[in-house]
Amino acid sequence: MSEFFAMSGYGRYVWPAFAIGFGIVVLIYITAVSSLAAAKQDAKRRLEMNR
Amino acid sequence: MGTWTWFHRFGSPPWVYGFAARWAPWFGGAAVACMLIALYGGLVLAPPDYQQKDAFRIVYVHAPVATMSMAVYATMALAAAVGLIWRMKVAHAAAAASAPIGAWFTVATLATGMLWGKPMWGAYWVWDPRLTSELVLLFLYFGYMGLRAGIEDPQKADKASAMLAIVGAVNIPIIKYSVNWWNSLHQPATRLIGEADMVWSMVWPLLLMLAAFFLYFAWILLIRLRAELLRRERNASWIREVVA
Amino acid sequence: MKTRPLEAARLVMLRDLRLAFRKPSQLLQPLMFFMIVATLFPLTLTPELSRLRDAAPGVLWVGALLSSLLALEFLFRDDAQDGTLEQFALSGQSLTWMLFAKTCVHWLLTGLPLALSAPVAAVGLGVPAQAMWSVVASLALGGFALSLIGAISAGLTLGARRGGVLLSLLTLPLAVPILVFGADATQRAITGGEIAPPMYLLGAIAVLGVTLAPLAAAAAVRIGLE
Repeated sequence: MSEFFAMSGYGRYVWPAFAIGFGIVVLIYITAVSSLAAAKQDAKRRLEMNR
Repeated sequence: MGTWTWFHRFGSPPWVYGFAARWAPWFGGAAVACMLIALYGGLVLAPPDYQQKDAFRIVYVHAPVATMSMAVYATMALAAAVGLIWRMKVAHAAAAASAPIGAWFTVATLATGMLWGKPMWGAYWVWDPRLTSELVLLFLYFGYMGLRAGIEDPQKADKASAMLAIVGAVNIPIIKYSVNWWNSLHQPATRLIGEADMVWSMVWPLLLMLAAFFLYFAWILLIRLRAELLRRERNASWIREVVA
Repeated sequence: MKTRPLEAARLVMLRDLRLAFRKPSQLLQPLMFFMIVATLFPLTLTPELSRLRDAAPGVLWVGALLSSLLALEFLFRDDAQDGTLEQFALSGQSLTWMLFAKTCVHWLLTGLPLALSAPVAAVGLGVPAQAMWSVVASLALGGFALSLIGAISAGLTLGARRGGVLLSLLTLPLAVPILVFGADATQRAITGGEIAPPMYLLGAIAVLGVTLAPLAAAAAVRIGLE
């Protein structure tokens, strides 16, 4: 198991690479979802205002 | 129903919104499933490389994000062209929605590339053709987003940035060619990345991961596209049903 | 009544040149900027000519690019502000040709003088005398290509806020091929190598630019004027 984490000595490059890469993947998702939520909120507000 | 019907449907913001809302979760689920399987295949099942040992495994995150950084730009330019030629609002919205995704992928490519470069070439940054071209691509994305942000009128912003995306798309092969030219002049050290012999157990996780990322892009685009459409169609009546 | 496009272009060219020469001091500004930039590099690097020679292609081309960018802002700005550009677009004459004429004037007043005076800066950077011809030629050709590309970004940023910075941000990545081949030509000239390959490539870019850039610039200007 510790071999897996060591990655034949390259662990300190491999794991950060996956962390950053997939971290950005998650970040892209979060920003997308929050932009949709914000747009929905905004649209709702405008509908209320124009009622 | 011929292709023309589909074309008309994609021109209608409410229809596209509904389509996106319905299909996004399927793309998302498929993307995550493929990513997990590919991750297992690449990190656990694939044997270490002869030259790079386990460092080669970075390819499973670097290659997909690098591919996507270019694929998203191509999508953006294509959507922009469709928007300009057929005056489709939805196409312009898709281009706008794609840009931040592509920029992030480019950042990820540079970061993972640097982390791969350090053990392989001894330095975090080397001016090799691929990394340098990626950096220029990042500047192109920033230019596109900057132009959109700098123009107030939404229609003008759509058209101007569409032109920029197309001009950029024409330029990208030229830029890559020039960067390769520049790099070959200075005889860099032999690049070890990617050209190693790969056995099938190394290849299939890579292919699956690539497919996963395309599915993922579709998923995220369908989310961001909805946000764009909501913002653009503020006063349209169909919004009422969607948000209420 | 539609005049031949070449005729319209000629008239625009003459007009732009006449207007430019009314303020001769402004004509010198890009040149001065280039000289100052070329001076800053030795000041920040080293006074040794042998070491500066290595950096010379970079200094010359970055300096040329920056001066060109500064002057690009004014390619369309005055005409856009006083409505002349709109008149051009509405005139029924070929906007493409007229903008091509304006681009040529920009090069004649910025890129070409810069190329011709580059030997002065080059001497200060340790460039040998036999390389001067090639330095001038490559900067002239590359400068023309830069003006063409710059016209596109100038057109695109017409309606944008803080258009100046944006114009540079847009032009720089697109200018990478010109810089790479131009600097390579200069480098080869300095070391006495064969300058034909990068010059041909620079020429190819210029030809591509001449064919496509004015069209794109005209489209961009029309968008900006709507």
